[in-house]
Amino acid sequence: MSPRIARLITVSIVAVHIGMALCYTLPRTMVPDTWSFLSQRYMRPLFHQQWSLFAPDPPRCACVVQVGLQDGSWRPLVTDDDHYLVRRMARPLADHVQEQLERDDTVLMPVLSDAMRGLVRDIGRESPGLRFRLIERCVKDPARPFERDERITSLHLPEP
Amino acid sequence: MRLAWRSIRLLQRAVHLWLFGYLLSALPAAEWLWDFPVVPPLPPPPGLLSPLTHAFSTWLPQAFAIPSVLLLLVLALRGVFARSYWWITLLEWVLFSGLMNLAWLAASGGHQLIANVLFWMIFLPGKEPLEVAGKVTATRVMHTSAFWIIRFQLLLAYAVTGIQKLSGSYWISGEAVRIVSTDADYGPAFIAALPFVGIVVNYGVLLFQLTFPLAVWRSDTRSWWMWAGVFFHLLTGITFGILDMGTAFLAVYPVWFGGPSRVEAHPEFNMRSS
Repeated sequence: MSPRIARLITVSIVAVHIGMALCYTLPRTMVPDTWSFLSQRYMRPLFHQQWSLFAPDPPRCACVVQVGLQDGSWRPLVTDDDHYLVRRMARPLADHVQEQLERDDTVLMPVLSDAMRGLVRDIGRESPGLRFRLIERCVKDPARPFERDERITSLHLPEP
Repeated sequence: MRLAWRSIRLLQRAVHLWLFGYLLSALPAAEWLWDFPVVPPLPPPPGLLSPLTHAFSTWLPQAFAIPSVLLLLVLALRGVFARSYWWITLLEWVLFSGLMNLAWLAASGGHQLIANVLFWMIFLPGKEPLEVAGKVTATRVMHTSAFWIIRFQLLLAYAVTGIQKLSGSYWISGEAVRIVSTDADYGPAFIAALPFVGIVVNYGVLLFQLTFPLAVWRSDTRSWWMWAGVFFHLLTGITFGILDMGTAFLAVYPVWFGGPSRVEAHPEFNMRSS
C-alpha cells in the first residue's frame, strides 16, 4: 500500500484505541454516556486500567482491619514481617470493607470476608471463630491532617 | 509515523527485565498469591475474550499457577537477551494477565500498565524490519500502530492520573500530600509538620504528571522529565512500598528514547532490499 494510506490506517488505529482508553479512564463526569458505554465494552475485556491512585482525592480515612486473638488482644491482618505483596492486600481490603459499611451493608460480601479469613488463615486453623473489626482514623480538618478521629466497628462476616 | 527499532528493542528488554524481577521478588509469596490464594478470584468479565485475560478463572486449573510463574520467569529472562517472537509474547501476556487477575488485590497500576504493554508488544517486530522504499506492508502498519499505542499508553497514564487529581479538591488546595503523609500506610509523616514542603511536593507532583505527556515530545525536555520520573517513581516506590509499580513505569520509558533505526540512519538499506 502507499505510505499515505498506511499512515492514515495507522493514525486511525492509534486514535481509536487511545480515544477509547481516555474515555475509559478519565473522570466519569468528563465523558458522555455513550462514549463511556462504548469504551467499557471495548476496554474492559482486554485493556482494563485505572489511573486514580490518591485521586480525585487521597483517602481521608486510614483504614485497617484487625483480627481478635484468643488472649483478647487485636492485631492487623498483616504484620511487618509479611511479604510486601501480602502486606499490600490489607489496605485495599480495608478500604473495600469501609466502602461497604458506608453503604450500610451490615454483612460483608463473601469475597471480602473470604479475603480477611485468608490473610489470617494460619491463626484461623488454630482458633476458629475469629473476630474482626475495622479501625478508621479519619482526618477532621484537611489543614491539620495529623489530627485524626478514630472509629472502631465490629465486622459481621457471613459463614464460610 | 516513525518506527524506532532501537526503542523497541530496549523496551522489549526492559519489560522482560521488569517481569523477571517482579516474579522473582514475588516467589516467596507465591503460595499466598497463586498456589492457595488468600483472596478468591473475581468472576471474569463477560465476553468471549475473558479466557485470555482470566485464564485461571476460566480454563486453566489453578494448579498450573506456580508452573506458569516458573515458565514466565524463564521466558522473561530469555526475552532480556534473545529476540522476541510474537507467540512467546502472546503466551507471556496470557500468563501474566492470568496471574495478575488471580492475585487481583495485590495488583497495582504498574501491573495493569505492563499487561497492556505486553499485549501490544505481541505486534512489535522481533528483529529490525527492512522495508522496500516507497511501499508499506500491512505488517509495517501493525508494527507502527502497536509502537505508537505503547508510546501513548505511557503518556495517557500520566495525563489521566493528573486530570483525575484535578477533579478532586485536596490536590487543588495543596493539602493532598500532607493527608497522604499522615496516613500510616504511606507516609512519610514528617511532611505533615512542614506545610510549605507539603505544598511544594503537592503541586510538584501535579505539575510533573500533567506536563510529562507534553515534555517527552521534545528531545531537549524529554531527558529532564524522565530523570524526574526516575526520582519520582523510586521515591514513591520506596516510601509507599510500591517499587514494582514505579519500576513498571520506568520499564516502559525506553519506548520514548528515540534514535533513528538502521533503516532511517542508512537509507541505502532501502535501496539494497528493493
